[in-house]
Amino acid sequence: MIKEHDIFWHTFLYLGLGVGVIAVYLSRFDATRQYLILMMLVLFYLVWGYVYHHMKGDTTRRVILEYLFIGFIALLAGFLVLVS
Amino acid sequence: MVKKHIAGHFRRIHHHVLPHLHEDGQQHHAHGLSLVALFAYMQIFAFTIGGFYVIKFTAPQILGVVTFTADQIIELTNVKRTENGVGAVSYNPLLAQAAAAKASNMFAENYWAHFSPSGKSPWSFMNSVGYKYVYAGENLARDFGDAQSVVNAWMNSPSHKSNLLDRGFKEIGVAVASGNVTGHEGILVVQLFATPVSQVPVPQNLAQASPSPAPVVTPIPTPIRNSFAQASPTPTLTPAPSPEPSPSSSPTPIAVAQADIIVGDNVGQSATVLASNQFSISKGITLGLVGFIFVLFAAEVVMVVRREHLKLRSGILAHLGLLGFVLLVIWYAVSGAIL
Repeated sequence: MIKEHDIFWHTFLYLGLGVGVIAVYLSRFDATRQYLILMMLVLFYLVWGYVYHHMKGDTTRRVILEYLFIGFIALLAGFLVLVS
Repeated sequence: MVKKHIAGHFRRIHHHVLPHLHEDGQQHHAHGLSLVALFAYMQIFAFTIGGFYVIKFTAPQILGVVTFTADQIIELTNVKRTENGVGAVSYNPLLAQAAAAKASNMFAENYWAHFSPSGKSPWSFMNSVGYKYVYAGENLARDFGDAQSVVNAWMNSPSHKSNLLDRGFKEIGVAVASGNVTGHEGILVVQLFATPVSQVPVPQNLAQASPSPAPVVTPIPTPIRNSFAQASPTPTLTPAPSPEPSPSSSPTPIAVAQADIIVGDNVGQSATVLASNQFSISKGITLGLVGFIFVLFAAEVVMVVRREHLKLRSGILAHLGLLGFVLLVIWYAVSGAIL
């Protein structure tokens, strides 16, 4: 069901998210910095998604919109709690 | 007939939250994860953010308020000190005045730091009110919703904790103020600790060695590391010819702002600043909505793994990863900042 290159790409993504978790932990009590880290992670997620689906050859408008919407939801959720 | 109606109802709910096969054999994901639904979640967040801004500027009391006093900070500080076997610090009105002056100055010069943009140290505020000290420390906090969260945040930070539990400190002064600092409306807390000159024990051998003139304590400026963690809890006595501690000899003019500032008065809880519940409301909404989306994606993965005729949708693990990350960030988010 999951191919080898899928495992590689998802490991790469989750490693990035893991670094983000550590960075957010180190920036506790500084909500602005935490939000900046979240923004960088969302950007990383979007770039990862584009490259991953491009390589798989299944980059459709629906896939792109799904990534964009989820990325925006993450940014808005972070903004609501950390910034506003 | 009723049975069929109920079955249809369950099927509709099932289709909303779980992936399913249509009559044509095509796999469809949960309707709750369709593009339209994702767009709707975005709109909910956008309207919530907008709504909070409107409420904050028009009727902030709708968000609910909690009282926030300097006395609570002092009380909770002493609770932590007692729990850790360190003696309680006593309230000093001069230190409280110095803390209030510091808070005023932060509003006036618009900064969030231990030193003002014009170079004023925390100690200059103690000097300006005539407080004579040997050691001193400062903890700052902003934008917290209640006193307990402030003290907990300080206790979770090693440098602030070392100030809070420093055996060398004997007195405390706290100011709590509401206002706008660096473009952010919220609560500001200034906590000053100090050991006054009068409470420094005179070692027996030193007193006997130089009975005349009497040893005079020379104030030692607190070394500044991170959050003004105290470098040494042990007071050092140095006989000196100077009759007065040097920090109090050159008070500097300090800009103050008109702000709603209260200080610990140790006699009651009359003075209060009202803090908003916005953070906890925002956190609840966000955890609920992001958690719901996360659960839908997780349910899809579980469903696909358990049923062989369904295929794992490309990218779903990435979405789960990002949403899980957001949930972690929000779950561990604290409302304020400390310095």
